[in-house]
Amino acid sequence: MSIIPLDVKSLCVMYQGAEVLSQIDLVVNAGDYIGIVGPNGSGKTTLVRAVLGLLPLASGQVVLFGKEQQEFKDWKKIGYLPQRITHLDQRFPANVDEVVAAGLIASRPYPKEMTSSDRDRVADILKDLGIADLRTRMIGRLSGGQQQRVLLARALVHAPELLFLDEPTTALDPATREMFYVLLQKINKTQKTTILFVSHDPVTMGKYASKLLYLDKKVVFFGSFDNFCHSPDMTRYFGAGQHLICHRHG
Amino acid sequence: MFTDIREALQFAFIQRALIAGCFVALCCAFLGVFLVLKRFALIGDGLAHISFATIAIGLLVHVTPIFISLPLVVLAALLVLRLTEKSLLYGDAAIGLLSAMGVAIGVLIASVAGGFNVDLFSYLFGNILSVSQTEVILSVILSLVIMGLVRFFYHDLFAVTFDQDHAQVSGIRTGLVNRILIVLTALTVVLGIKVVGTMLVSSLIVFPAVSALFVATNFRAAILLAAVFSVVSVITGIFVSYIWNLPSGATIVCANFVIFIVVFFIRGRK
Repeated sequence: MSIIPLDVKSLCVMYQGAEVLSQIDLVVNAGDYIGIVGPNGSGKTTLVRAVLGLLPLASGQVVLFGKEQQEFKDWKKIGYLPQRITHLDQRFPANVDEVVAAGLIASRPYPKEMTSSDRDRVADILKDLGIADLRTRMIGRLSGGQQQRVLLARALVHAPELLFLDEPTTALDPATREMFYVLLQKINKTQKTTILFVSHDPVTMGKYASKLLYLDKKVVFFGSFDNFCHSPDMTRYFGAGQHLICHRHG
Repeated sequence: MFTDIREALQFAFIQRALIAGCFVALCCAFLGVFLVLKRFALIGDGLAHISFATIAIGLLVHVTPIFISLPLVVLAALLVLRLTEKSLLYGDAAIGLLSAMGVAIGVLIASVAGGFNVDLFSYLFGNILSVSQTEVILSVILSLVIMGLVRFFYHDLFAVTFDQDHAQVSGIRTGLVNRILIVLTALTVVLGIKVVGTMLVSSLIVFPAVSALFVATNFRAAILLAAVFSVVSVITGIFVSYIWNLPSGATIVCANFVIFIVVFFIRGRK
C-alpha cells in the first residue's frame, strides 16, 4: 500500500487574530486529482501555503508522505506552482532555462551542480510544454501565459509525486487554458501524480478533477464528484449551482 | 598616459592597491547582483555607516580597525536581518536607525577620544593607495572565501532571489541562505572601506550590479558583467587617481558612474 501523500488533521490557520481556516480535515490519496474551490477569501490559497509550510499553523497537523511537515525533508516529491511570484519584475535577468533548472536542482544535496543529463531534462520538459523556443528568453519579458507555462515546467521538471497548483490558469487565454487542463490530466493519469488544483472555477474542475474540496473557511464538501452531485446537503447548500457543476462533469 | 601607467605599476603601493581593489571589487559585484534584486541594496549603505562606529572603536583601543569591524558589522548585519524578518521594524527603517546610530556613536567616540592620530578622513572616503601588506593578504583571503561561498551556494542564492516561497518549498533553507548573504555582505563592506571608504562603499556594491542588470539577458551574464564593470572601475580609478592626484575612492565611484551612463545609453538605443 502506498504512503498517503497528504494528511491534514484539525488544521486551523489564523491571520491577524482572525481564524481564516478552521478545523480542516483532509486525506489525499496517491493519484487523486483534487479541485479546491470556494468563494474569494475562502482560504484556498491559505490552505496550500499552510500545508507547504509557508504559513504558520495555529493548531492541527500536516503530514506529508508519512512525515510531520516540520520534519519532512523529501521536498523533491513536491511540486508547487504559485499564484504569482511576488517580486518578479520585467528586468529580472533570468532566462527560462535558468528558472526551470532551479526547480530541478534546488532539492539536491550539496554540491549542487548541473549535469548534461539535467540540461537534457530541462530541454525535454520545455518541449513537452510547447515552450522550447523560449528557453533563452528572459522570464520577465514573457507574456503572463508564457510565464505561467515556464513556472509549470519548473514545478514538473523534477517529476514530483504531489503537485500543488494555485490558480495557475488565471493569466491564460482559453485555448492555452484548455491545453493546460488536458496536460495536467495526462500527468495525473500516466505518471500517477497527485494533484491539488486551486481554482475559482468549479465547473471546469468538475470536468477534469476526480474529487472536489469546497472550502469556505472550513470544509463544506470533500469527496468525489458523484457524491457531491447526489448529496442532498449540497443541494440545500448550492441550490442551482450544484446542478451547474454536475452538469459539466463528464 | 601609458608611460604614467607603466611608471605607476612599478610602485609596490600601486601593485598592492590593484590586487586588493580587484579582489574586493569582485566580491562586491558577485553579491551586488543578489542584493539589488532582493531589494537589499540599502543594507550595504547601512552596514557601512555602522562600520564607522566600529572603526572609531578600533582607533580608540589602538587595534587595527578592520579586526574590530569584521565581527561587529557581521553582528549588526544579522541584527538588521532579524529585525526585518520578525517584522519588528520595516526593513528600510531598521537600516536607517542602525545607520544613524553607527555614525552617531562613531562621532561621539572620536569626540570623547579628543581626535585620533590617524586620519579619519581616509576611513570615510577610502584610500586604497595606502593599503598595507597585511590588509592585502586579508583582503585576498577573505575575498576568496566570499567568492567560494557564493559559488558553492550559487543555485540556492539564485532560487531565493528569484522566488523565495518556491525555494522554501523546494527544501532550500531560505533563512540560512539569507543569513549567508547578509554575512558575506557585511564582510565585503568592511573590506570595501579601504577601497572607497564608509561613505562610498555601497556604491561599489550597487553600481556594477545595476549597470549589469541593464544589459544582461541571463543571470550568469549579470554576475559576469558586474564583475567586469567592477574590476574595470577599480583599475581605472586607481590609475586616474594616481596620474591626476585625485582621491582614489571618489575616482573609483566616478568610473562606475561613467560605466553606468554608457550602459544606460547603450540600453536606450536597443
